[in-house]
Amino acid sequence: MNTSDNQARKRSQRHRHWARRSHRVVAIGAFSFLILLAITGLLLNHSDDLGLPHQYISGAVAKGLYGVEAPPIDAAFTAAESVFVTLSGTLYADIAPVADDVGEIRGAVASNDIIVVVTDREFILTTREATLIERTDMASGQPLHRVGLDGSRVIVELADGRFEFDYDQMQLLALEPATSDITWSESVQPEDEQLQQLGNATSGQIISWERVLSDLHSGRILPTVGRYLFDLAALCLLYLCISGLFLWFRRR
Amino acid sequence: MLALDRKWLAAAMRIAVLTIFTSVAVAQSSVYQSKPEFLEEALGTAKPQSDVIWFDDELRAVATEILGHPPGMMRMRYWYDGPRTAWIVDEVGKEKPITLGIAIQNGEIQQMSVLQFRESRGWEIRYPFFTEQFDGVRLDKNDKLNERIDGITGATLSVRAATRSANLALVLSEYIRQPSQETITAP
Repeated sequence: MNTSDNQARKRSQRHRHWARRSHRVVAIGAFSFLILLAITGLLLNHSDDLGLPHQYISGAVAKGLYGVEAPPIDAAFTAAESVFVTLSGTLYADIAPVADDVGEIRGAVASNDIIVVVTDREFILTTREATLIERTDMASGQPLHRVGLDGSRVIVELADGRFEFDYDQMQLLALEPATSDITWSESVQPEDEQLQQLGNATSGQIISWERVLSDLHSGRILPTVGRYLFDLAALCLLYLCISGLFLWFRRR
Repeated sequence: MLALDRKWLAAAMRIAVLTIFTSVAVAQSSVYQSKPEFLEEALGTAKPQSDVIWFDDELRAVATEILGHPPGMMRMRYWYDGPRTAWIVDEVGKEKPITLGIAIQNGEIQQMSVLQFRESRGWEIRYPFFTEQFDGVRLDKNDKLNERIDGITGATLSVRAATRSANLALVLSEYIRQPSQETITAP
């Protein structure tokens, strides 16, 4: 065997030696990150089956990790001794959730055994015990301004006038006979105790476990530096793949 | 042997690259058809008549079994023109409700449409290749759909929501078709 072959062989040995050592060092250094990535990745992959999008961390943990506090209540309206508010897209009667994916509350009135809650885009019917009966959005697409009562008639005001709301047919009727003797639903200030209970109830329904795992998986759980640490872990994993392939080829 | 290994490696790398760069569809919440538009299309009239069906204990139990949860409301509205009925159902896919319109005649689905989709994934169900699977579907003797609905990869929860909604609409349409059923009014 000539000198150049010897040199080539020695060079190849040095490369393999260097690759083995760096492969080991990187693997040890990134070990804990890789374990975390694997576990969070597995859980996220089966997130729906585990129900993680619908399981939430507590309000205290949400506040500590994410600084989440209950959003302020814009307006509250009383009807049949219940206080109706909307928070984070959910309609509450006192502290009990009634309906999700609602707009901004504009009023609430009680007529006979029915409560009509009006948001900027829909009518929500509940019983006096605040059990949801039916909901329907505005067919015309016009925003609802306010709701009131004329005796037992439910009157709503839109941009182009006032109408009677027929809660059996869930539709607007021409206001006949016209009336100006309308008691409009007025916003009220909820009591402090209700506000606190609502705050506890809602802030504990904001951050899901899926979100937490996703932030752990990406490193965003640690502000600023976390993302770059996990970028580094991902690059380490890439290096392990490449160096592993190199070593496997060289061996063959 | 080394040449064969490299061929396999090259193939594996290509597959890996394709997997990495496969695009993930991102969709915004979208209204595809308004309720009045759907009702007019389904029933052929701009102002169809409507009625409600109240969930009594028995019907609530049936609906709970179909949906996997109690119905969110005490009553469900439907629209009709002659023997044809139209139902608008809101059913949660993953986190947000999907609004579906279902037209039924003589116990058979005539049309299914996705009216509004609010989530970022699974919106493929709005396309005819999926919704047309429901055309002609009826209930079997167990009050389930008599046809198998093919799923869509990445839209499993949306597919299930659509299937549950179709099942519920068919069951409710049979409920109101029963001759012994009196007109249901508010309790």
